[in-house]
Amino acid sequence: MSSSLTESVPLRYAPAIEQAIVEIAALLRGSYTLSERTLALLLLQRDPEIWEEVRLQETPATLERIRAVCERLHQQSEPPLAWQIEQQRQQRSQQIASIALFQAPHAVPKRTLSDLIGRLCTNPWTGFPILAMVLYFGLYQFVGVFGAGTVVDWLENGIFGQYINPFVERLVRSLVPWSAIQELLVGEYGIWTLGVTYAMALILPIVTFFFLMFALLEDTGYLPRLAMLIDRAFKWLGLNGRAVIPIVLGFGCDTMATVVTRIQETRRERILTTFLLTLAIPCSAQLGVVLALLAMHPKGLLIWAGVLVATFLLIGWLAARGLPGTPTPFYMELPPMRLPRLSNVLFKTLARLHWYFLEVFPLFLLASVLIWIGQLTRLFDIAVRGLTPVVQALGLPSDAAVAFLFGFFRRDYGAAGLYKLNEQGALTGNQLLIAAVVLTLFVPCVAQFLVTIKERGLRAALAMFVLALSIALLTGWVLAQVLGWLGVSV
Amino acid sequence: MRVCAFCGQELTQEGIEKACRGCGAFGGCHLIKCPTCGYEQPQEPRWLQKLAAWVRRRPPEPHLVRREGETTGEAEPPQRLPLTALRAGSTARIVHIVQDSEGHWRKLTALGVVPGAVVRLVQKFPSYVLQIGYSTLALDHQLTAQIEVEPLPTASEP
Repeated sequence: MSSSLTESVPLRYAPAIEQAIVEIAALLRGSYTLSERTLALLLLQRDPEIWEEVRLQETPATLERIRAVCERLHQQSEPPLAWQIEQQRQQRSQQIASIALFQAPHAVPKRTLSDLIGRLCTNPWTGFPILAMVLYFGLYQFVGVFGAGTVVDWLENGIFGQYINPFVERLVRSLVPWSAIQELLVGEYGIWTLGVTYAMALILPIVTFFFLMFALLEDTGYLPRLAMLIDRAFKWLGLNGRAVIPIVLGFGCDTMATVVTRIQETRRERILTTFLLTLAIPCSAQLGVVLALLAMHPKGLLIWAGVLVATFLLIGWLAARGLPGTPTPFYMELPPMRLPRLSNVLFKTLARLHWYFLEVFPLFLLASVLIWIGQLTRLFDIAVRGLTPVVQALGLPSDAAVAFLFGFFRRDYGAAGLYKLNEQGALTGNQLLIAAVVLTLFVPCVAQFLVTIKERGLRAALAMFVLALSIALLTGWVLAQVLGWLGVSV
Repeated sequence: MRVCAFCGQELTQEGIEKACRGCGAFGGCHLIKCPTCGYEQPQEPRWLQKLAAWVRRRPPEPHLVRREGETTGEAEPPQRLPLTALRAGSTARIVHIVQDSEGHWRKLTALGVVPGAVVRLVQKFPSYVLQIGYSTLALDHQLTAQIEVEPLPTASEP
């Protein structure tokens, strides 16, 4: 760029504003990292952080005088000051752009393939079918069936189940004499057998495939279009299109999705999204087991999905009305559709995996330790006894209480426990369906719960826990009654 | 531009009104009179004007299109509409951004939605899609309604 531009006069505002800037700058005595002119401008625009900073460094008399200058200017300003400043900045930037950029006179933007695809993705007639296809192939087939099914099966039952775990188990049992410690390390829910195996053989492949898909979608520019398509529906839930990103991520891992709610603007939206994630969005691990569980009962699978969607919408709608505040408007830039670069996608996936492991891996180990303590102190037996009447009220065998309790530690373990019960022929189709619905809606897994405490605070996390628990049990009970009345058996 | 079919004189709204003033009829005749030669010719029906405009992809001539509740003859003040009132595919110049107390207008400004910019409304459902310069934005109804524009004639496609 030519030096004439960079050396040209700095941006000057309207005379009244300039005078106020000079007056305020002359009053400032403290030492700041920003220039006095910048400080004065921010003070005029009532920036809360800068006001706080200045309040700490200046005398009350000075503050009073600054405040007087601000008030005077604000009263004189029509249109509002912030608007004037913004306008003058925009004019200036356009002026600079007009010097620095030029457009070839008759360059008509070509209609490219990227434009066409972009248009197809945003047009409602073609956009929704494309959305359905992306979800089916990208999420269900690639992440669910291939990642969570084939690859997990090979790693968990093959590599870990046949080779690594028996070796570690023999090693620990031969080296450690105390059976309690043996249990802690390699018992049924041990640090190695549950924590490490679960994290490496189950979660790692699932999130790898999920992150890969997500990075691909992100780099094509599809996600903003998805947000734009879904915005109207999400408004109904008190959210806006932006919430689609954590919600879609939730199908991969709700724990990570809870962290991603940070992209939302207000606390209200973050709480709403976190709650919907806790309640109605099954993570990929859980999804995989539930799908396997209900695979023999296609009607049951349909009812399960229907109940889940209905709960998601109803509870979202109610929560949006119950929480104070208003939804924030939706705005997003739609970047052009691009062919993702493989290296970028891979780097992004690896970086996220690294981060994910650092955040979530210790929680799996913690879950193992908690289970170990619970079993050692017989706290679990008490909890199971407490859950048994509830489970029986849902028309389920009392053994299902154990599955529910463990559902808290591994969201899919609960479902896996049901799988065993099912193999023993202890459950009818209806019981299986009710158990699957309750387990999906049930409390978050321990990792998600801890992250929710970290992100939303203990009070909000506990409230969500209790609400999710009650809604899950209530929905299960209502479903059991409705199935009974209608005489439906799946 | 309209011309008299008989003498070829250019017809302006003032001219037509002046010529019509001398006529005893109270209107409703759907005829326009040439001020120069006095020839009366039928006025094109509105749908035909629209069709012609669509076929030629040129703006309908404003002095021949009468809108409801609007006087003719005077130079029209630029219309100011919320962007949501426009049809998909139309182009407009932004004249004003409504300043709300919550400062949502700042987001619009940051995205390049500023007075003076020319915007094309690409679609309206399920969300509004706007084209400004080389960038495309998706906005919801609330934000789009804050953008006040003055419609521009749709540019003819190359």
